[in-house]
Amino acid sequence: MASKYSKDLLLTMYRKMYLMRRFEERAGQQYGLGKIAGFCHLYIGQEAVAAGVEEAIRPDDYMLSGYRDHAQPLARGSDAGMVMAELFGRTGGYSKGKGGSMHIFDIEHHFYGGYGIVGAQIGLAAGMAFASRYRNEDRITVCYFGDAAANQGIFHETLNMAVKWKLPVLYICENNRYGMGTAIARVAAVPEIHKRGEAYGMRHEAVDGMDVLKMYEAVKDAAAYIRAGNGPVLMEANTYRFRGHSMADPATYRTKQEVEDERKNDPIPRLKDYAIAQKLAKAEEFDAIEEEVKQQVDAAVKFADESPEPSLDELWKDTIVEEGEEDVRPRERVLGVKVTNWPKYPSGQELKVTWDLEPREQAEKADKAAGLKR
Amino acid sequence: MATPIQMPALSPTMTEGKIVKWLKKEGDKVSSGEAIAECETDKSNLEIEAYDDGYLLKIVVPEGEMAKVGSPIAILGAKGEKVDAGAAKAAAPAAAPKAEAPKAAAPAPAPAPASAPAPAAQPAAPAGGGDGIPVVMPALSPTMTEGKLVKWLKKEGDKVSSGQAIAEVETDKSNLEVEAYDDGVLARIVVQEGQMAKVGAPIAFLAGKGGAKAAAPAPAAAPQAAAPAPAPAPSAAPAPKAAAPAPTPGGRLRASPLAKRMARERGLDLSQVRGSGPHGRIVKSDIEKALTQAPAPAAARKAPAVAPGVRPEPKSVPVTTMRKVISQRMAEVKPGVPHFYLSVDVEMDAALKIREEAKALESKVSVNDIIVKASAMALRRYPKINVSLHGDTILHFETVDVGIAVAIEDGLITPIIRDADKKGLSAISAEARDLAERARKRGLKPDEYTGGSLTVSNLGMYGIDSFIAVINPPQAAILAVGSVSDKVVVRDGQMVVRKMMTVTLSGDHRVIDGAIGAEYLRELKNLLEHPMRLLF
Amino acid sequence: MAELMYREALNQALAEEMERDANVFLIGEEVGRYQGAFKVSQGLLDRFGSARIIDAPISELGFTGLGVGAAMVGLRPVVEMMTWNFAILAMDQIVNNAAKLRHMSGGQLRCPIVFRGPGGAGGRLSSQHSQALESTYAHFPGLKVVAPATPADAKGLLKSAIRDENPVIMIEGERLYALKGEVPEGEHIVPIGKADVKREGKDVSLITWSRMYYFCEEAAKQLEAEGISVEILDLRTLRPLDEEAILATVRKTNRAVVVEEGWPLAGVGAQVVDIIQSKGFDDLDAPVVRVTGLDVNMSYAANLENAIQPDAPKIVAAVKKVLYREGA
Repeated sequence: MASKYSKDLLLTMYRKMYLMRRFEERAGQQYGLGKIAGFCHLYIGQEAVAAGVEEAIRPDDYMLSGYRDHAQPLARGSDAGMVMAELFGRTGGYSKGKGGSMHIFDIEHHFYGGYGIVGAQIGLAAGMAFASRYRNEDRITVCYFGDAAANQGIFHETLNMAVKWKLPVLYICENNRYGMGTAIARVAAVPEIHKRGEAYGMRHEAVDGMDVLKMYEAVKDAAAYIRAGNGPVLMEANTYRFRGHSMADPATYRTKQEVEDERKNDPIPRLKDYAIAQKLAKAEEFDAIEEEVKQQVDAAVKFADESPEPSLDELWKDTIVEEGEEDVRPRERVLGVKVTNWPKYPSGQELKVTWDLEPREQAEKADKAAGLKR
Repeated sequence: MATPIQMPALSPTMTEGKIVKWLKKEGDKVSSGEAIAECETDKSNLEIEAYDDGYLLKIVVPEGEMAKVGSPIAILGAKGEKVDAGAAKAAAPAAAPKAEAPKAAAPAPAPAPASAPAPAAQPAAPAGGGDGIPVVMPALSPTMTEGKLVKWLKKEGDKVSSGQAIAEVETDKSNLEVEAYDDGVLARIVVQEGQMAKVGAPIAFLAGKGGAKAAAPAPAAAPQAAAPAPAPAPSAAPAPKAAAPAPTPGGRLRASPLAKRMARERGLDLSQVRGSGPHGRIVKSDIEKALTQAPAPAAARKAPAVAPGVRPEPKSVPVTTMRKVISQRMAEVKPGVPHFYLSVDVEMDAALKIREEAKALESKVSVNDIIVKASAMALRRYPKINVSLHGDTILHFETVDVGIAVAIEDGLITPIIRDADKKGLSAISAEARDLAERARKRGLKPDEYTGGSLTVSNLGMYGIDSFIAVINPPQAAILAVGSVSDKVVVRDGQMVVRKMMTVTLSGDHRVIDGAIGAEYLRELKNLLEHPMRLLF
Repeated sequence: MAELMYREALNQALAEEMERDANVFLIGEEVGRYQGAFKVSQGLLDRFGSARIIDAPISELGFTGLGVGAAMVGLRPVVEMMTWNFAILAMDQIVNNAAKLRHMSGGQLRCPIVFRGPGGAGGRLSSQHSQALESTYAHFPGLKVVAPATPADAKGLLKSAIRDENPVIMIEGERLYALKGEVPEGEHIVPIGKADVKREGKDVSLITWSRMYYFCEEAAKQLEAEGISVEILDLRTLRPLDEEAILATVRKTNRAVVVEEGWPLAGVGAQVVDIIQSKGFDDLDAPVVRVTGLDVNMSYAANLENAIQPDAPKIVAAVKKVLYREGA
């Protein structure tokens, strides 16, 4: 039976996954060389999640993540050199070097940031989804978080509201089995995170996060469900990080054998093998992609290294929005490219809010039945 | 293309690492992301990964050896590629980022407890080796290069404690005390009373608490001392009392910041004001009250005792330090600084009236005080004179500080009246008297006679009509003031008698020109002839 | 000029701004059908519907996060805290997200949001419900903090806060909601960052904000009778502080007493004193004295509660201290 996937789709996914892998390896190397400091959390091993999601949603859908956040913007089309420059703390970075590894923001590509407080983005995602509903837009919000974030209060508080108000948000728990050095099973009464959706009457499912095609299928379906106005979905992508929690983590809390076993599931060769077996692409084509990506990442490192540190004047900018100040468009600022895809919102005079969270007739009927007067 | 694999920094504090084990051997194929070696850091054992695909051509650092972060530990390349001997060396550690922004260190995992306690640090050897702790001739004034030891306040064997005065030294300006900065015993005096010592040279040695024996003197520029006496054991007897220090002024003067500012602006002497606030704090209302009353007269001064006249015989006296400095500097200035001179005659009748008015208020204001005030106000208006040349730059002073030349035994000194343009006459008068008196007693602190905008040198009291003064560096001008005397002058075609005085300005032509000096003198003349203007 | 209660003035500001800008919505506990725990949102649900006046579950962190997320993509949320004591649960979203979004994104994002609700002692509510927390929030760069004392300022500052492009913390006086005052008709705006001399005087300056202003007025009247002329500066905004106004009043009177409801350590008042001593030193005729809440937890017992809070007699005593009339 012929594959239902186009060659184009598979090669795009492969390119993205290989870019994430290569980029993160280089980031690790540069950390070792002292070019990157602070916390630096690598995505190596989890590439299938971000690549599968990206191909299954619209480019104008909102996305945000935790602090393991270099890879998702790359999948969205962010400039690798500018992400690397941010890691280097240089002015050519997406946030002028002010955010660093844990805070990548690329609003042009609708990537609304990496957040350093575990689970904090879960609340923000609900607000972004709320805004889409408020404006009658059909865009959805995709929010990544880790297994450990599911134990935060905000996870529960937000799921409750998201379901109650039918917010168009897809929550993807990237369960890589460890919250820093603590196996999720050691601290979770129910380690299958997606089952927590049950308590809120929320659609929930688990997906093999080491298989990009499974991710793609699951997200395509979930996105359609959400876009149709059915409310949020909780998806658990079971994945694995081949590296420590961050660069300073020797990962002594798991056995070498475990890592070896998981590497057999490496999503990148898996996709290559599938495509070759399905006769959708030849090995040479993959070699060529790999070569191109290697050069792209080398160029990104070079760009980052040559970008100057931010000027001290920057200290006094970007804390408070001054009267009449425009928002910064990074690619325009750094590369001089005209950015046309910057988000635009209807003004307060144009906007008509036409929906209700709790329609009045419904409330009045309920009151009447209960014998209440308003 | 053979590329080096470098020892990575695997923790924020790691500077070098030990290769524990090679997981690949030479000739093995490695792919990016694969672990190739195990490394022991200061924190833990970690794996080193390859960041490229290729073959391990050469292992540079064998198992069990250390490598600095950034140095090559192996060479990676294509299959069968020859290793260039230089490639290993070429791998320089990464350059530091361009600016010196502090690196935020990632919190490292807690270090494992050390297996053994670190050895206690060796007690530090006492400074000065076997000589004990040297006490050196301090620089007690900005211009001092050497000092004369006038008197030892402690003798060998005495106990001294940090902060205690141990000797008196005569500098080019005044007599000052040398303090010990350590506790111990005065083991050996190197410079005897009456001898000179260069700044920085040891004048004595202290033995630490242990009473270390002082060894032979360090071959310094110090003069020959008598053979050192063995250090006596520290006696239980109390050390002789050091000379009593000059009494410090009584209790601190308390005034609110606002009161201090007002006094400064109106030239009021706060010591003459009674405070009504808590603990006698002077506040705004006290200043306002004081300004409407005459200041209390300053305590009467004792006239200096006149030395009895003796038939003079030529006597050879060694040049004092002060004299030496004066002669040195004058010799530098006179050929070194191109002087120009401007003179003007000033009618002093009105100014003398001011002095009479002050007398009526029991306030002593001298002609010189009025000249100081006027010269300061003129400086404020003509700041081009208020400068000083320092090499390639000209300092333009923001404050107006006027020096007054005071003749003292064996020389002269110029104490400074700070902010003279802002002070009132009675404040200037009180300050000038106090400074002159302490100058004669050699009791001035260095900051009281250094700096300044210009100096007023007045020889009027000696009946000198007019004279020319040598500039007092680093100032750029000096005002030579002659006596006030009745002269016949012509006013409106009539011959009249007026009190006249001649003022001569010497200017440093490198920074001031004649026209600027002339404008300044014109202003000064105006102020003195219309002294009401001194109030504005 | 209309005479309005403080809560009515706030209600007017909300209604006018929601009318003017459909991006503005209100979310919080009991803001809709209950008509507001303190009746600030009275009548707004019927007027604007349940999508713009949103009854939130009791999940402070959750609905605050939702508000911040909505502000990130162009809406202008007003998040009501039933009281600021409960907002401590939401501090992560306020401090770690709202205050830092623009910085972390290098200027790509803004967060035009208002967090508002009552602060300070409500009366016999013990220690968890009686805190004056403005100093806590004033500590963070990236936030603005306002604390109006009068109905007119409440209305004018809330309108400014809703229109501001930054996160604004508005701490209302829980004891002030029923207080009446003149409010200018029509478009009334009070700029953020501008203090207000509410009483002119020449002997001493009382620098204060929010409910403490009324104690200052009471003290001023009493002192006036003794021939002491008191100036009162109502800061109104606590971040950014109006340094110019603080220095100007000290230049005028040369003596200052800083009055705040909260605790002394690291209170906003301490910063005011620092501004005075570092930039107005030469204008001082006496040390600056602070009147603050006592450095203890709030008690339920009426006499203890009264003893803990600043009041007019304490302010009078402080004024006499800086005028060196102690014991008087």
